[in-house]
Amino acid sequence: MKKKTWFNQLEYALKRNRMEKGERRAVINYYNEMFQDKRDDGLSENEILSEFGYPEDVARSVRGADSEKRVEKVARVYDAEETCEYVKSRESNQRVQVKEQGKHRNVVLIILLLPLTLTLALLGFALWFTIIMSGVAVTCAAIASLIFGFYLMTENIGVLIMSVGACLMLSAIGGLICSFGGFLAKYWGKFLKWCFVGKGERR
Amino acid sequence: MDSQLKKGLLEGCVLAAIRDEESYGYKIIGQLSPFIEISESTLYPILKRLEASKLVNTRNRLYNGRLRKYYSITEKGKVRLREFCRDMDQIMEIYRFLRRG
Repeated sequence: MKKKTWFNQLEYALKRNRMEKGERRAVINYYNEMFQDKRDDGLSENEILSEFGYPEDVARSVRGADSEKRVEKVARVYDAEETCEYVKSRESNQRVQVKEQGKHRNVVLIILLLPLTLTLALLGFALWFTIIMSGVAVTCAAIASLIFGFYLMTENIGVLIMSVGACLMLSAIGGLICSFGGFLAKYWGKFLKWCFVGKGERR
Repeated sequence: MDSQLKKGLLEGCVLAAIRDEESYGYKIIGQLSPFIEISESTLYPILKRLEASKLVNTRNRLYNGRLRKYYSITEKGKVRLREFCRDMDQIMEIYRFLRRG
């Protein structure tokens, strides 16, 4: 399980070094391969991890040229237990910091923008509700036309085909409208959240 | 060792390690560590740079039910390696001079 912790720490450290997702994946794969190869070579998990060194140092070092002043690895010997604790405490510290900053901004923003955000929220809800309702209405119409088609089937097969067609078309339109409503709601929620909490995570 | 100097040396050494046949990360480290201090985290950016400048090719090959990334030298890489060896000849001259002095 120390392995998992080490890799989680590495991922976290790479993120903090602003490395893109694809590049992070490449580094993780590289270290996974190394780990397996060392394992096959008969090294123990502890030995491998202490050879790898601190995840933070690794994250800095793998970036190569753009981090010339990297820490000399030899100076620090990796201790799995100790680093776990260390990184955990740092992570939670940072989270607290972010939260506090967020709160601070919240108070100011809520007071200043309360009327505006309330109006926006109401408007958004009204718009969303209208769209969803019209979606539902169109879908109802689709079902109705299908029933109607079967009802009149005795008279003319053409009517049936036509109403089945109409049903399909109407349900497609209904589905589109509903999913548009869903999208709208999602982004509206994100927008409102952004208004209140700012961009969150990043400091 | 001076990091600038070492970086150049490492690049040449990695190319030399895969000159005759393709190799993978752990093996390359094993090949180089008798001569020069190298760790996983220093090898990574070198491999990345060599790959980006098309001096090496990479492919993933199945080994023991897992994927391993293999590196092989390109024509461009061979040219670079020859240039590197010529530079080393010059450096040997300088070395002899230093030693005498």
